[in-house]
Amino acid sequence: MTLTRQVWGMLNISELDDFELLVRTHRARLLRLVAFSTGDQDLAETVVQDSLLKAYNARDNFRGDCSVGTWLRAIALNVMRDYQRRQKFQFWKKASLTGVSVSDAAISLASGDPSPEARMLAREQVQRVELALKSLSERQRSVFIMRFLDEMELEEISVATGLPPPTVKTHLYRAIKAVRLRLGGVR
Amino acid sequence: MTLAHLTDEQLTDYLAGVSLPAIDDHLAACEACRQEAASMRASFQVFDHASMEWSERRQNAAGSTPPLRRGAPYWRPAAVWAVACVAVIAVILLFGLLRRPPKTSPFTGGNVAVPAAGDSNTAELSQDNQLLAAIDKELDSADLSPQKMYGISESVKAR
Repeated sequence: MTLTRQVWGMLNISELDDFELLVRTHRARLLRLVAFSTGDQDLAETVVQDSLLKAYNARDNFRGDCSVGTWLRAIALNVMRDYQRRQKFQFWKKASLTGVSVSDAAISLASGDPSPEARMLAREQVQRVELALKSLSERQRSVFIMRFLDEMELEEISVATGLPPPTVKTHLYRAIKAVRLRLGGVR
Repeated sequence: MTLAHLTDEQLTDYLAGVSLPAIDDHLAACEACRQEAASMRASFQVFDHASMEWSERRQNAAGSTPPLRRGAPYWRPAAVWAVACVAVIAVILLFGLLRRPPKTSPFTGGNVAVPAAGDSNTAELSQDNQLLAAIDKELDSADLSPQKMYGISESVKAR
């Protein structure tokens, strides 16, 4: 067990050495996390760029306690909150919010089954999840994305968000409840 | 006997990967809950692909993996303009200094050449100065006053 952690730690450190590769690997996922948490794609671009720069500058301080992905998400969520705190008093920023919608992306989905029905179904599913996400709080969205899209463990989400695991679970419960409602749960 | 379906918490546990015997047993027996769990997983998967595609498209639109660069300091453009302005002013001043007229003596009305430092031929210069002084004198005398021009005597003027 200890040896495995050490090996992972070594892998993490070498992953940080090739930062260009690290950016290529994680950038899109970070962008998705921030964009769908905030609902502002322009802000997400800025936050991700800033987060990667912070990570690059702080790479020597990374001790390998968690995976690089979790560490990057923790940085991104912190930067995101900082930006939002600063923007809170800039009411005019609200006018330039650029929304995030993936409904169009769903058209090219279902590549294995290109029938119009499959595409329609995929689009409907995406829209429902999207609507359900919009009804959640920002933190619930972040937790939901990390768990069900990034497939992170609860402990990893806890590290990334700085929330205790029971709180993470509570956010997940609420998120699932809302999504269930939108997706038309059987009960 | 009616089967109590999974609660939100139990379904979340199941979707979150928490394996509990009670949940597993229920799912094995309840078709409705199994279908719902499968349907939710499928929806998440489709959304995962769609959102990832969206994100990658955004990334590609912005240029693949933009290089990490420090944000340009906010003062940099101002500093560049300031340096450019100083350079332009310096060039103008230098040009002005080079085109400045030679120094003239303030005492001789500008007609006397001032010997440059180290000029050995001072005798020649002094001769030139004398010549210029003579010319000045001649010009002064040739310039008649209006009284002399019209023959007005001092007595008339006094009256």
